[in-house]
Amino acid sequence: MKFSADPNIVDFVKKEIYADGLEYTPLRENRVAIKVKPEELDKLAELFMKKFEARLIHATAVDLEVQGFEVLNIYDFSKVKERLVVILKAKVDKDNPSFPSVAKVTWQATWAEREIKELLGLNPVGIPDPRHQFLPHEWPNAVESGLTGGQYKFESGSQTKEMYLPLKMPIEESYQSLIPIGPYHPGVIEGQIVYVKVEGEQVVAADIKTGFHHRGIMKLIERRGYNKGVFVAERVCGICSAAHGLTYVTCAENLYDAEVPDRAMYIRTLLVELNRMHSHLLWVGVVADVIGWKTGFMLTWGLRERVMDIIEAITGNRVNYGIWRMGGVSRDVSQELAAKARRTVDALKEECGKLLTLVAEHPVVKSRLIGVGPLTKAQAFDGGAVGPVARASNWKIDVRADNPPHAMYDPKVISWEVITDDNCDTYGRTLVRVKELLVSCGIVSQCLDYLAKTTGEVRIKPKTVPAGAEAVGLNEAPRGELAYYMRASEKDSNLPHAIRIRTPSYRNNAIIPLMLVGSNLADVPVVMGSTDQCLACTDRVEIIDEKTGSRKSLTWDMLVNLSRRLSKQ
Amino acid sequence: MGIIDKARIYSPWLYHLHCGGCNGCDIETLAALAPRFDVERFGIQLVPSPRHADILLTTGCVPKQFIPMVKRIYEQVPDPKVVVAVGSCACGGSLFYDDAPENYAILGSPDLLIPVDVYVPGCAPKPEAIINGVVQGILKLAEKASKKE
Repeated sequence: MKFSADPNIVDFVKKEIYADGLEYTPLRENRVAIKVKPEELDKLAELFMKKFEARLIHATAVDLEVQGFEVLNIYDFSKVKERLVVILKAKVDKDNPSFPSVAKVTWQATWAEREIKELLGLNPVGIPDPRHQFLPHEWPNAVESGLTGGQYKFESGSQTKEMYLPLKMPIEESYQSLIPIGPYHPGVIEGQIVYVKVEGEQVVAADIKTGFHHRGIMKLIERRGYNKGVFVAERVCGICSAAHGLTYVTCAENLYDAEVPDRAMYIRTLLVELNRMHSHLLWVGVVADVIGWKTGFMLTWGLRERVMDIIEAITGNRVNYGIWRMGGVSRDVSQELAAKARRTVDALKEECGKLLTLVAEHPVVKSRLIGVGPLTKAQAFDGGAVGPVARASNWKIDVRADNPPHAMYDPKVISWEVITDDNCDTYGRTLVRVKELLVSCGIVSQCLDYLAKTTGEVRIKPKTVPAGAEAVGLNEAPRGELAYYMRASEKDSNLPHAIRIRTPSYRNNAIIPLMLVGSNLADVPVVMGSTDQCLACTDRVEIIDEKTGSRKSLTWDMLVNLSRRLSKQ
Repeated sequence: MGIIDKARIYSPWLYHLHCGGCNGCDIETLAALAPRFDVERFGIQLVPSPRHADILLTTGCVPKQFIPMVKRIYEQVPDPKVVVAVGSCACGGSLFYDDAPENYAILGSPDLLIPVDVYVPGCAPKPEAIINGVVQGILKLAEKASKKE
């Protein structure tokens, strides 16, 4: 299958959306790059988001070496025109690397701009929350570089350590009512700190600090090139590895004039939907465990093993499939295997139907989840929620329908629907996920039917990537919209100049504090779990050129004293 | 071997320390506790606090931000203890580890920080392999308990 684009897309953008750009470049699949002046970024954000209800996908920046930096704001206009994505590019000088912050218009850009500030050293003027987020507190510092054989020393004296000051509280106030949860906490397996300020049992303010899982993945892909990069991309997250693989190849295929065989498209859809099934079953199990419904945990994890069996039979692996290639997939699914898997899926669909009834009617589930972690549609739009969290707030967005990846989601061939729910709470998020399980079962059966009847090639050799090409790849991961941005190098056709990854948890984690306010302290793990947090995804991240000026707020010694005082009480 | 050590070997408790992996090994570890593989039949149980644990199971390459936490959690586990490193990352840094130029965010495998007794390679290792690794850990635990006396 070839991927088409509207030839008059630039005229459309000029006429309908914005006419005063400096330069318009059409990219593949209805994506348009517009060069603008940096001063216009915040005004354009206001125009796009208020007038067109466009969604900000990501704000990021690219280092162009001697030419300066380029700030990129990527907007999704798929509600205005099919598959339209607008990339605003503004060139910023290296001597004075500042640009107007988009976060002051819409706070959902805050994390993204904190990332730009921290990793590239640019200065977003007027950002409401300029705290440090992803890098180690002490970076760069020889003590932590591993050269000392891991002998970690706390230095005293003049070199104090920066610490993270939650909620911008004065220190005296913060230790009276603040409960830090994490970095290791039984509720969520991965490391993060959630600070909740409580009055009695009620949460009155909350803040989240992630970034412990920062592994420098984007820099690794930039070094290793397109073909090896797909394996690194898969290991951004072990749970939604198929979604990362598909988005990576979608983005890389948009760099050149790609063609993908139909059979490969079906195999891709099959794997991504199986991946979604196991991820949602896992999530239901984890939340069941958190609310004390151990039977639910055992039940869903038992079902999940059956999905894993199909995945293992198809790819040979359970976690990282290693099947994604530019221009197709590396392994075919035989007709016998497809027919056999089809029978398993049928049985699974029946079980999932029972699970839906069980979850929707179970008294423990209802009493622990209804009304917990409320998020209205307006809040979801403002905070930039994605995936099941947005859909449970009755906001119908799904990348598979609006802006499909290079896999088979054509409604003419495969019948499926976007699930929404109007409960706007954790119960709604549970229902959305369990119903999506059934939809995924349907998609998987249709793909297996196709694969059982036909044969064909599964890979077409990729062409050379043209110098300086740009592309955006989007996909609906189990947790929500996943976005990749790639720019090809001018010098080497095997290496990307820059790659940026915006994961769904990146957005949904940022709105957790919003959902926590007003809830009970005992419900905090449930609310944290309700977004299906994946911190391995959130804290992947990019490159650094120079040390940035992160704010020194609370010194390490002060924090140690603080904890000692608290433990004495 | 005293009665406490004997009891410890028949019901070793496990603390799962996630230090910066991709979640792949972590879901496989949890799958080992779920109905199909069910390690609870060996008396192995996942505990929420390192202070209750006999076996520390680590996954992932250690990002530099986790260094103090990993050391602290290791120190919190009471003696005798055994560390099982699960996955390629925990065995040697896997693809996240880079020599030249060095990956600025990653320390490498946890054995640079804490003594590791059992290595379970694989990306991600299957639950069977993880169970085997933990059983090897139990044997080492028995050895350590008898040496103590």
